Amino acid sequence: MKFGTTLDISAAALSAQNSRLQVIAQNLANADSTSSTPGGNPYQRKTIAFQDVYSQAAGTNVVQVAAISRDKAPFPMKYDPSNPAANAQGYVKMPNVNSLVELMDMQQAQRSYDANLSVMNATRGMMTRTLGLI
Amino acid sequence: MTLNLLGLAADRLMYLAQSQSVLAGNIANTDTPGYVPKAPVAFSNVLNGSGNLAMVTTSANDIAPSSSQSFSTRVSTVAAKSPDGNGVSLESQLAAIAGNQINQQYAVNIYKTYLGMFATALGPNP
Repeated sequence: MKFGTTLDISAAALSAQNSRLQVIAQNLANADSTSSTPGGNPYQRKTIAFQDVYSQAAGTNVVQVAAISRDKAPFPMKYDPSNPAANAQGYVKMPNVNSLVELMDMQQAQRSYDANLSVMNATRGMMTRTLGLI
Repeated sequence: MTLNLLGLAADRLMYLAQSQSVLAGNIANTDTPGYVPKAPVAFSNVLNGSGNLAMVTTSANDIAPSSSQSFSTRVSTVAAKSPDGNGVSLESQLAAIAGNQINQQYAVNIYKTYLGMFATALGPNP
């Protein structure tokens, strides 16, 4: 059934966008998570990538999360000698999370989610019309 | 002249369902790096048989190709690619989905109307 496949494709895309939102939420939540040891590394920003792979179950290509990796950007240093994570010079390594970038990414994820949802609605409408022939 | 209108409408509906699947795949991959969108072949190509390249068996030991028609797609021309190599334009894909819906409504209406004509020709039940 072809419409079923279409719905499978859109559903896989929805769950991929959902994982993306999870990663964004983690990044935003940890925007101030410094290390617990002096001079240690803080939270390192996570990034997510998608890929188009063949799914045996759906019988077609669907989107899946390819990898969740770490952002290799350098950690910004902040002068804060009172912080327990400060090194000998009084500098604290802050997470390399930029809230503005995360928020923008969130908007984009939402937009893609909406698009896939409207494809699902359109497909459902077509199914209903075809069934109306009976 | 008899026109196989019901068969034609059924073919059209089948084509639109498959085309919807292709477009859904494009929209699902709006964030996949390096993805180039696919476009369904034109309906006229499917009708005259040039849209599908059927698999052939060249030896008796070959597994027979499945009867289900494969739907060939072509790589669509991409106006602009994003820095990660993705060429999907969400707007044009959604526009194509909307077009698909209208065409599907059209085909369904033709099917219904034609069936109604049969009912008219047969007359009221005695």
